[in-house]
Amino acid sequence: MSIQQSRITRYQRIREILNEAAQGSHADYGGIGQFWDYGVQQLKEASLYGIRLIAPEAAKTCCGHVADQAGYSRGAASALIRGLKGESPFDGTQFPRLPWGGKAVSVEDIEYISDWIDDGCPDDDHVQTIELGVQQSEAQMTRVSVQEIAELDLAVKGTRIPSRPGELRQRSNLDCMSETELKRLGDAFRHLYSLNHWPEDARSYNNQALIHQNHCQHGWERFLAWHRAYLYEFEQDLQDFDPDIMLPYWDWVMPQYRPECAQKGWIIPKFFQAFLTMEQAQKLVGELNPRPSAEQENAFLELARQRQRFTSQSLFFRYVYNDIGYQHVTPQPDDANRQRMIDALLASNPFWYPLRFPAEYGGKTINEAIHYHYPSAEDIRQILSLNNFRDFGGGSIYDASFGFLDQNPHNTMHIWTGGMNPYYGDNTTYQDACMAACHTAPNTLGERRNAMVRAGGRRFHSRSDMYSQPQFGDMFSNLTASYDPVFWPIHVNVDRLWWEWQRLNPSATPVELDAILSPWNYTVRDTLDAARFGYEYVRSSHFIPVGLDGPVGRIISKPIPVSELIQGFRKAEIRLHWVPQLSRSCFIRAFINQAGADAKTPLQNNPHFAGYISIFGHGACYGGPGHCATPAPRTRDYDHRTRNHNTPRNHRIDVTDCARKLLATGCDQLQITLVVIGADYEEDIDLLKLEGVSLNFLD
Amino acid sequence: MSIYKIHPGMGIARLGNSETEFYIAPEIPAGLPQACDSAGNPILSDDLTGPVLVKNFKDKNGRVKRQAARFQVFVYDDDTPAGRPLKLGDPVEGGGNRGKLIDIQWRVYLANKKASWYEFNERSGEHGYAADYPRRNASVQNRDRLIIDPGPRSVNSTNLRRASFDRSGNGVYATTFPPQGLQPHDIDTLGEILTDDSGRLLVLGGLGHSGSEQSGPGEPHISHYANNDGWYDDVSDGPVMARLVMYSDQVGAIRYIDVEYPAWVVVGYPRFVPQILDMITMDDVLYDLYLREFAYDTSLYGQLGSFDCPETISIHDQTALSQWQASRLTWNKDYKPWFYRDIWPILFRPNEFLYLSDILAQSNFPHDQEQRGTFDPYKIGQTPGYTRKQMAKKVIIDDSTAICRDACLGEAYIATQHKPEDKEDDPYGTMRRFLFDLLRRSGEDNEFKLEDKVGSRVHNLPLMPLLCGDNPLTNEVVTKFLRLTDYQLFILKQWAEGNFINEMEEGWIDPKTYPVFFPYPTTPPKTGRELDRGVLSNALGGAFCPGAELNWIIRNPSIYWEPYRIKVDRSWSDFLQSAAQANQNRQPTSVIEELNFNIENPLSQDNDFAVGLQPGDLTKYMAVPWQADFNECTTNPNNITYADWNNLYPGSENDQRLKREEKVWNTLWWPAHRPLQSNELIGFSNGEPVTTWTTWSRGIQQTHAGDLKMVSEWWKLGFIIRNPYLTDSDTTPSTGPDNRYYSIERWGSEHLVAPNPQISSIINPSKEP
Repeated sequence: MSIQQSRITRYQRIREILNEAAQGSHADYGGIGQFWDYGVQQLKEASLYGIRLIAPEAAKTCCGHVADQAGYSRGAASALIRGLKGESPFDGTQFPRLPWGGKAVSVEDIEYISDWIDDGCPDDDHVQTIELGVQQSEAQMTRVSVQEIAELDLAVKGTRIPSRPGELRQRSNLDCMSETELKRLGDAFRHLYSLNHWPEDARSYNNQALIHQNHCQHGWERFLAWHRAYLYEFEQDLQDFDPDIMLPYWDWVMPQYRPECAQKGWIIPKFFQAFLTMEQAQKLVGELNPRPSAEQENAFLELARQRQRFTSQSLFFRYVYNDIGYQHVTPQPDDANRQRMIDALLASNPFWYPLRFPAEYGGKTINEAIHYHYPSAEDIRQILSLNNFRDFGGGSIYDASFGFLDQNPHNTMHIWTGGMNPYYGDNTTYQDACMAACHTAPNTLGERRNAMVRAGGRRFHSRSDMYSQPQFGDMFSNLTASYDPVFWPIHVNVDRLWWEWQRLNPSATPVELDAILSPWNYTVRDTLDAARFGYEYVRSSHFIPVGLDGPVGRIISKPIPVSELIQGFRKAEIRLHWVPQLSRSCFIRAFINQAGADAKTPLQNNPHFAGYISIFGHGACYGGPGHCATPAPRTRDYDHRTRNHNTPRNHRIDVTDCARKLLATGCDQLQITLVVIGADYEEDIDLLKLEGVSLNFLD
Repeated sequence: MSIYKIHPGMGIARLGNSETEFYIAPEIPAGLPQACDSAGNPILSDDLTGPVLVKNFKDKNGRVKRQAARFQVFVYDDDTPAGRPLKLGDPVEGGGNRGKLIDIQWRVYLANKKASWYEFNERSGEHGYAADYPRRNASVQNRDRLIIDPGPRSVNSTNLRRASFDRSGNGVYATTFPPQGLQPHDIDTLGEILTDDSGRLLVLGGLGHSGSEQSGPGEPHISHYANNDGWYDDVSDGPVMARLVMYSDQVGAIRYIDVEYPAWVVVGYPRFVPQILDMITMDDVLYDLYLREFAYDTSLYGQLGSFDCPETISIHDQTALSQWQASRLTWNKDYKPWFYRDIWPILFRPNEFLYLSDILAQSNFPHDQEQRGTFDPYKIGQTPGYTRKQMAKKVIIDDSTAICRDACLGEAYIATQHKPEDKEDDPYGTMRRFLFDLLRRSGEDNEFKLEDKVGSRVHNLPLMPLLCGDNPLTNEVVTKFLRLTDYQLFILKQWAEGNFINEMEEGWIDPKTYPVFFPYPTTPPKTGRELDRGVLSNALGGAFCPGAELNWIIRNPSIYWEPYRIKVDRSWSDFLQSAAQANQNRQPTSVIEELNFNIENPLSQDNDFAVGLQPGDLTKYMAVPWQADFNECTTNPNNITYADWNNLYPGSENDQRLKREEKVWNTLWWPAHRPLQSNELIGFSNGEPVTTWTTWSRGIQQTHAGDLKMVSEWWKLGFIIRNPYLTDSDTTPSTGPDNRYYSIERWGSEHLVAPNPQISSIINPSKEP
């Protein structure tokens, strides 16, 4: 350690700073004059119109604890520093900025004075520079022995948490879902496709899509209400097949879509892109005529092995023709090889749809061709800041006006995913050099999108329809949009944005609340509360089953992987599910990435301490047998009484700050430790029962 | 993210019978209006630093110029959290689009609902009307026809810069106007709107035409100061909305976004004394209201114990606001008002009324600032201990604050704490406390003087302000006298007790240059909030019987969306198609598309505060025709016999004693809005003005017949201005009936206004001593 000492003390330097800034002003400071000039002791006690300029030494709380809440700095708390910075009350309302009548002190100099105060306003120290040698300051870790507690496993993604009566279910972010979850969703979609064989079956995919074709509301205030009901009805239709299914949402503005130049991003979610499974690739090469060369065959299989993805059929066929080199395929709808390839792609991915040409506008960008732009996070922020329903969601019957959410991004996302088919018309080859002639987009495409798609005479989801070469993708028009499965995550996201906006504007509603939403009997009013339909939105949810069999002392989860896609959440919370009444009161402390945490683990200045809740104990039962028994999960038929007082509760702990800080240090997984603390501030290992714990990330 | 707001949130236009000439409303307290060209562009001074102020209030035909309420859009963003004016060509964003501002569209909807509204009977109706409360024109069955409804109008800054609220409806709207043939004056328009070259909006009100549809012998006649069946006037009010038009390079197209919320325009009668403020201005009333009701400044008024770390309460969070209102609210006893910014302007104001009425002179100049010394700012502005502090600038161990935690902590007490006097230390403390003790407090609204304070210096002295209250007329909810707002009384109490700052002592202002006797800001407002407040400071804040521009309805928190912004029924205020719809329709150039009509119902006969206000909902409370109330509001014989009663009936019981004991005090209403007497310019001598002290509205009596005369004569009255020939007027106090203010341009004497090169330098007080 070396110290260089200079000639003047820090206090003297501070006087210089303040005198220079005062510029000879005659300010009187309520009679105390230039208070910095009379020595350290006087400065420490100086009081300007009743306000101590230097905060007293760290305040003691009533129990004698030092009030060292994180971030407390005596300097920052001092009126002198606030005054120099121009902070309240020195912001001009009560007093002008210090020094009065002079010029502002630089940020560095304020910092210098603040540090001096933090150091206790030393009188006689000198300005010094200290170089600290590298010091090993490993603190002695005194570990308390902990009884062995197994780490609890995460529920496999896709196996849903058991949902209890009254508990909302989660619609989550498509891009944060696991393969397993998507597989189950895909199976449900395939089930509805298969019902298309019975044209009169209302449950079939085509009949569900037909509802949109015939009844969809847009361009006015029924848009959001109608689609909320539509999504719910379709979700129920899926749940008839698989009760655990919830519709996911596509958050278009996530970084992987690169909203600022979206044609270079993912364009549409990976799960909705074209790819071949190995099984389908092997089947395909056997069906092609002529059979591909060995090298080409290998290339097809490599496509599957790599799970190479294409945002549209046009890109897939161009790859086949130009990169794999298999040239026995043309854009003609009756080309048998093209048909087999489309069959294989459809069989590989239930979410892929051939009549979809995302981001393709005859060689132009969407901005150039349609005069619409792909939505950005900032766009969404602006739209969420609108303060009335008409601007946000659309006008009433006397004023059938678009709302911003409906017009753009909603319309834009239809146009974005629909796109223009480059092989419409007279294109006869997939050869790169003969890249589709630019079909210049008519200038009116944006507002006339519904006139652009042919709906009449089509047999939707039939093979002949899937092989056709229309001018535009089906998403382009509301008559055909919901035949493309990408319709759903787009509209679920629109609904999510409304749900978010409703929380900011709880009293902003459409005008006609009693209007019926055909073909159902919901009124607009019925749709205002999404909870009625049993869902909420979370980006990603991770459930750790615990079980109600016996009390648990400490809960330690396996580390929960947090992918980059999940990061950037607005809020992170730990939820305790289905906690029966506790007999004694307790705190539950949550730690993240500190598996050994216990009752002694410090809370202050511990980056792993995430938060706590306190639960009031129920106390001893004064009733007879069964009085305080946990009630059955569902009430009996015709039991319309209010909820049983012993109904188990759910609890939440907000861990946003802790999770965010830990993730910012580069770790990519979070491990939860919950410690139950009794009234004696010791661990209470024989108290808490619960069904499970979850970690949830909210947008 | 940028937010766009229209300022002022409430603009004040004023009637005038000049169809062609107008000027722009003053935007600073006691400011002269700003001169503009025929397109509304302000005329700038030669050095381009500021606006040229109006010298002539009448056109060459002697008709009163209208005052335009000017509105502009401010942008609030990270760089300028306090807002800055938005200019054409600036980058703008909103609704998910961004681009360059190429145009601003404005939409205004004016209406006059006076004839269909309830009768104005002093304070009745302030908190709702009983079911059987009488309406004006009660016999008229078709109530809709009583509302003057010219429909909405829109303009932009490019190809449609002017629109009129006239009978024609602009070819697109079926208007409702009173029948033609009103006596003495027909009403064919409520005004017009136009944009200046910078895209700002100017709203012009009506021509001051009032008339009655009653015919036959004895008609038209006026029988009441506020309610006259058959009568209409062309006062109006209504919402002002703006839409930004941008060209987006990103998509090569035009995009639209609306500002955050509408503003409101109110049309009042001319301000004949623009440079003298009322004792209580509308700004005073609203600032006090927002402090107490909307947590507007919680470092000033907030929860007991919260002042070291004031709360932030969102006005739009009703739960948080209710919680705050239910807490123990109090004024911050540690707050120190500034003498020249906060205190002196209040004490200064009443003395100026001596130029508008005989009464102060006849009372021997009670507010005199020099000779008697009671109002000498250099005495009453001196802080306690100043002399001592000057002697020894040393420290500073003030234990008194620590032990001062007395039992009254936080109570809303208003009595002064008379501390032991130290004549040496605080030689003028007695004077400050004497002035404060003379002020009428809450609960003393009906007291002429306090007669139960034996031994007090203010025992038996009249309480101040000695001006009429909201109801000195009838026995229902009596409010005989005006009192200062709670905020004003609070800061005056702080001052009286010595808890204040003198900016001169502190060196924040220079005694050599500070215009003590014109104590209002003279630089144009920089922020939107300053603009809101500057404009409102020139409107009357009481008494509301019914008042000048607006009445007691402005004290009702229910009519506000947030401070300085009226809660609007947006189905009337907003453009008929949403901005998103305009984006959808995509025109190659900026056009105002008013294609749809959302008007399912006519303008309402009632209020719906839950939804918001409609056009005409503020001025409908005022007198019809306005000239009747304007004429009569000079003085009122306030009956001060009993505090609770305005009207006594000794005759009914032949009560000779009561008859003998009845006492009346002839009390001024609001001389700065309705002068009684004035100096009048009669000529020049040696380049100096010669004036004579005379009645301001000669030949118009304080009778109903006089009210009818005023309907046709108001525009002939003179405008009273600060004497531009006084060169050292800033530095000397006024001590008597000098000609510091005089009336000009009275009908027939317009020629007496000689051009004066010094005029602008006097009105914008020079910084040199």
